[in-house]
Amino acid sequence: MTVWMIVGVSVTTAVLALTLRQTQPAYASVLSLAAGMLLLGAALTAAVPLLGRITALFENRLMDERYSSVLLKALAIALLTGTAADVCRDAGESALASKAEFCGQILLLVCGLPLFEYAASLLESLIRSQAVVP
Amino acid sequence: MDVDLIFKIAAIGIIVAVLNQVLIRSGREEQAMLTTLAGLIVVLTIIVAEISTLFETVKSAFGL
Repeated sequence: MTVWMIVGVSVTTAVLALTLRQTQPAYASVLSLAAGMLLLGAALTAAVPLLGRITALFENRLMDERYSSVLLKALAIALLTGTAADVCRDAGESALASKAEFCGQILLLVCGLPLFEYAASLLESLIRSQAVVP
Repeated sequence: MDVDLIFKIAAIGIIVAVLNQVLIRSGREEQAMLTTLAGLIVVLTIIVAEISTLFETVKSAFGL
């Protein structure tokens, strides 16, 4: 992924989508979705060393190793549902976009549940060890 | 997952737009709508294949 690829793909797609939107708006939406997915794929392929570094940080006992997958899953869910919602909004379906984002938020909460429980148990142990019961 | 994907979809869109106009002007509006729908189905099939490729990329990149 180079800067030229990003600029080229995004600008070319914007111009093509603008041309198509007047006569065939459906095709313009699909075109922008395709370009969005292309750029997302390129960004993720380029971000692999970054994610490897984050996983390595977890492996160095920063936190339990199970929770690194929670973090990465949450990031993936947010990215993908955000893309879907953006496409819906560009096509004029903002109600659908809100529902897609809501689904993404629910998925995030469910996915992050073990992490919340871990944080809650940590807090509880902290309170119990420090508490002076009157 | 290639840049050609964009040009494929744009080309199909432009061809369908032109065919649409030609068919409407020659009075065959039902065929124009059918052409638009057919092109849309073709394009959506291409996109669904690319979405599955993207999902595989996300899975492998995030190690899920």
